[in-house]
Amino acid sequence: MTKSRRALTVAAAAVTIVVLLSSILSAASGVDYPNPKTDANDISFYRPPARDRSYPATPSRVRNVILLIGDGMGLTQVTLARVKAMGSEGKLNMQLLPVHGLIRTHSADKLVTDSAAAGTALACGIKTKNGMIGMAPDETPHCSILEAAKDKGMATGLVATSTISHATPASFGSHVKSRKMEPQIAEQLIGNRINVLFAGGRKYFLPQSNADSGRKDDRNLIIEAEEAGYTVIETANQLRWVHGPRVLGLFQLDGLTTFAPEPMLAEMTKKAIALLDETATDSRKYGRGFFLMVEGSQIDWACHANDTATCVRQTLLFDEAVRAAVDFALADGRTLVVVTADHETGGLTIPDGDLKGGQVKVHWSTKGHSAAPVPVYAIGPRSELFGGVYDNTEVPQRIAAALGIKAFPQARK
Amino acid sequence: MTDRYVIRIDATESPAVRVGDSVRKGQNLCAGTKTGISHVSPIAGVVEEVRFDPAQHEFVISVSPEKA
Repeated sequence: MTKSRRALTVAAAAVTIVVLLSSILSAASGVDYPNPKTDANDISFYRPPARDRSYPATPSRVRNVILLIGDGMGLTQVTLARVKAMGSEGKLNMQLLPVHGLIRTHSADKLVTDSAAAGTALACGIKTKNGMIGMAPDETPHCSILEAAKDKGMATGLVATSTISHATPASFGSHVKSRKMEPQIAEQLIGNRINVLFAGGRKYFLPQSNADSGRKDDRNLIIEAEEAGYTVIETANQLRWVHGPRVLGLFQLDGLTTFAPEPMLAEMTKKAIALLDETATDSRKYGRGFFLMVEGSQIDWACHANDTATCVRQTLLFDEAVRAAVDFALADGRTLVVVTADHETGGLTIPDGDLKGGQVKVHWSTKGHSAAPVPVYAIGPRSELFGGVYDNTEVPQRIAAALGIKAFPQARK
Repeated sequence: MTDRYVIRIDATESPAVRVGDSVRKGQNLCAGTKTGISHVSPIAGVVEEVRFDPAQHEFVISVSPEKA
């Protein structure tokens, strides 16, 4: 054997060992979702569905509810991601759910909503003014579907890629006059004892004495959370191993980057489901199942920037989270999964494209939000409630009906 | 003298100006039809930056004064 061939053989053996070792390490640490490091054009993480037929309907009683919200995700964002990932004949996971609907999104005072009013509609079942969180236009706080589920004895969770105190997650666990009040929202989320909170936004939990703080007082919500029984984590590795009935995972000071070393949205979703299911099974207090809201927060951000590649990537990251939820629901048989959006961002259309090559021409008609209706997809027991064309306020009302919660919507006592 | 004026508008709106645009004092920087709040340029000048700030969900528009 020549020197160069021997060197090649040694190099090939070394590569094989490295690949084997990394696979073993990856399996041992539970890394199902390898997150790319920086490239917005890299969508290699996305695994197209192995099927092209809809998932089967699963008739039974509803024990758990998983509501997934793509912020800014209109029908065209879904189409664009689908064509880019799989070509014109493909379907995303969310499109394989058997029940489809459309919702209108206007707020109490404007045809074009913002995420606060739309989040409040999807959480509390009421219309409010743009900017307001969890309360009616007259500032009466209203119970969210998460709070109603908690009152019923269900474990609860919120997962997002923004700060945990951003408009959409805030609407499910807090009540404030303005979405800008993120320090107060953070206080209320902890005060509400939501079992699982995974997102960014650690700065709103740190006292002003800390250089990274986003607060204007001395409250240390990290310590307050620990005193309330939360396990507080900051890294993807901690996420893989953490257990307990209350977990606060804040993986960035601000919103997430959505790149490694942060956990992917799908990984946070899968872990949140596992923790909530464990808590609902083991705990007498939370023994009636769980409610989880998951937000793909940054589809909206990409669309505000009219950034097509990032819009595709964020939509596919969200669809991977949908897959994690559906995988659990199919195995469990008692879980209702509802996928929707709060509004459309960017006024995105596809005026032209290539049928076979996956090339599309896109047109962004605005950098703001639009009044376009947004899709609803559902699977699981009582998912038939989510078909048709209706108002965004009816989404939590229909979830309440599926859970047997009668007094909804209602003012918060 | 201020080098640059920074105006922030809720991102539900779309900015009505682009980088490089010349603006008059009092010219609308966004239509204001979605939020009911219109924003005008405080000075005559040139738009230096239009940036989306995700943390605040706002567009940041910077206008530099017209050179005499």
